[in-house]
Amino acid sequence: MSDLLNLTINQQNKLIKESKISCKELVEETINHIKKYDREINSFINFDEKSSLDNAKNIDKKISDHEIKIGLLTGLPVLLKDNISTKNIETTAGSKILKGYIPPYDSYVTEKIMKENGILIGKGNLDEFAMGSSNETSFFGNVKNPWDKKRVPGGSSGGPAAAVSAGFASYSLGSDTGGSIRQPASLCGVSGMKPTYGLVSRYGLIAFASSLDQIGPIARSAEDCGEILNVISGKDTNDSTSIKRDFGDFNEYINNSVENLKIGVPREYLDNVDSEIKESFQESLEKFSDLGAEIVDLSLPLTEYALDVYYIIAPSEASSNLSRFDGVKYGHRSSKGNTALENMSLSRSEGFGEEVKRRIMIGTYTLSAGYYDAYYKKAQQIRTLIIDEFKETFKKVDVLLTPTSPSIAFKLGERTDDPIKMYQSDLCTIPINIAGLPAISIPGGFYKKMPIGIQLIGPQMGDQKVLQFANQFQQNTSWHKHFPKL
Amino acid sequence: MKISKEEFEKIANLSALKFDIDNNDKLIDDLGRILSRFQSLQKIDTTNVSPTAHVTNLVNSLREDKDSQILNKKDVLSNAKEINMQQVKIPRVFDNE
Repeated sequence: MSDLLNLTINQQNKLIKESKISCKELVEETINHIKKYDREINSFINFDEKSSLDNAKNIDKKISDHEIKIGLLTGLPVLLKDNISTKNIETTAGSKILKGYIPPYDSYVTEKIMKENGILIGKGNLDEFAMGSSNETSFFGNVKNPWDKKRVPGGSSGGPAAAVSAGFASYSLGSDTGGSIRQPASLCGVSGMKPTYGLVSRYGLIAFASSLDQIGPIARSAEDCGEILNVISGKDTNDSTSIKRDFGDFNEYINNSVENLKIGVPREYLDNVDSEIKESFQESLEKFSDLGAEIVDLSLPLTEYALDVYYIIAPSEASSNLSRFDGVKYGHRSSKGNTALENMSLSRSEGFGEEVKRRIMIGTYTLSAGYYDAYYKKAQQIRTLIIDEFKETFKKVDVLLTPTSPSIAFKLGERTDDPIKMYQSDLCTIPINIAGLPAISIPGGFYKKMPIGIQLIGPQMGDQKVLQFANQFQQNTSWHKHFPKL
Repeated sequence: MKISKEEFEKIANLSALKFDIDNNDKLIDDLGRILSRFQSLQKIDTTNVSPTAHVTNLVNSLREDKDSQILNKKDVLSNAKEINMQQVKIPRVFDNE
């Protein structure tokens, strides 16, 4: 791969600004690269070569006619996870039930990126309805990890993470309900951030679990993540949970030193982590220590309950959200069934995959009469306690540092037979969604030639601080500058 | 925890999903294992703890009461499988019996 496709957004933008390359050249090179290598990696569900090229030419013309100013994202190819609605472009959420579905409107984030003259290079593969940690539940086939094609890329944003790592896009947008941006970013060796809940509108994101879902960037540096968030965040009246940020530029403090700032290391996050990950994590801690940060060992005792709380709340919300897929207004409709109800049940049974059905069943059970108090209400009460535990902790430290994933990318098929084992892949990322916190995963090392990620977590609205720590780490390490040989 | 076949069928019915009950032992078993895990939460005392209603504690998030751009009928129906007189057509709701 040419070095061009490994550059960060800032670097590619500089080349376009200085007229060293045109948007068409960048997009053309990206397309050739995708055609050569994505057949095997399978990170795209939808890839429209012609319209990407046409858009690039169009933007070049507008630039030369002085019709538009070159912004940071102008002319850069972006991959959107295929649960993000794109007007007149098929959006499947990785499911058979939505195969052929053409949204009549754009999501909020799609609109924002198009306004900046970004170029949609395609739609990214994902676990069906974003339910999975390995991208193996997609109706459109699994994605392979660009670092080792026998291994998973992580999930559910496996396509977007693999694509950024492989140079198929300048950046991508994913969604994160329990780690779906950060875990694949970690396993593919790229940077991925879930902002504070509400900072990015969910309008047009196909819902999985509404109180946990959040859209965020996957890119080649923390700085890039901040730049993308500057574009896609904002209060949106179409999403009543969206909030206006009470700070300015996401990257305002990224060049400030972390000297004398405090990093908390919650020991529970190291309990179920592979020893190689622990070793690498220690090295990252030492790096932060060298940079002058104070490391504080601490405990978050409720961590061990987070996974179970999540696997009650997320399926409960999913069972409700996914009730809209009935084959009536859109989506797969069965040719069988004599009555409306029978036809709906058959449409859903034919359209949903195994993992989605499993989660609908769990959610329906935990919400059903007689069980609601024991499961759903109990989980939401413990959620309150988890939120409070984080709040107390952030009175003592600026950020928390943990591994992102308990292991490096596992082999394809290794965990598909055991759902509980698969669910445990997100042990370190799930508590963050439960509390609505911002967190980023950045590359922090390698084991067996596979990338290892570290996760920086901040308090709500502490996104700037998370980015400051991440950028300071990246300014003093080169883990994020390694790319896979395809 | 074991889920009985009757219980499984009841939940499937509430979920509007159909399963071949005799060939889904693994799914039934998995559900039982997953639900068993949740028992651990009962260890935590949550007396007087309010359940989280919203994670960022937004209150009265309302938009201005103004009409705004919405999708037109043609666009809304553009993905429906069967349309009749600008309405979605579905099989009959009631059985003959």
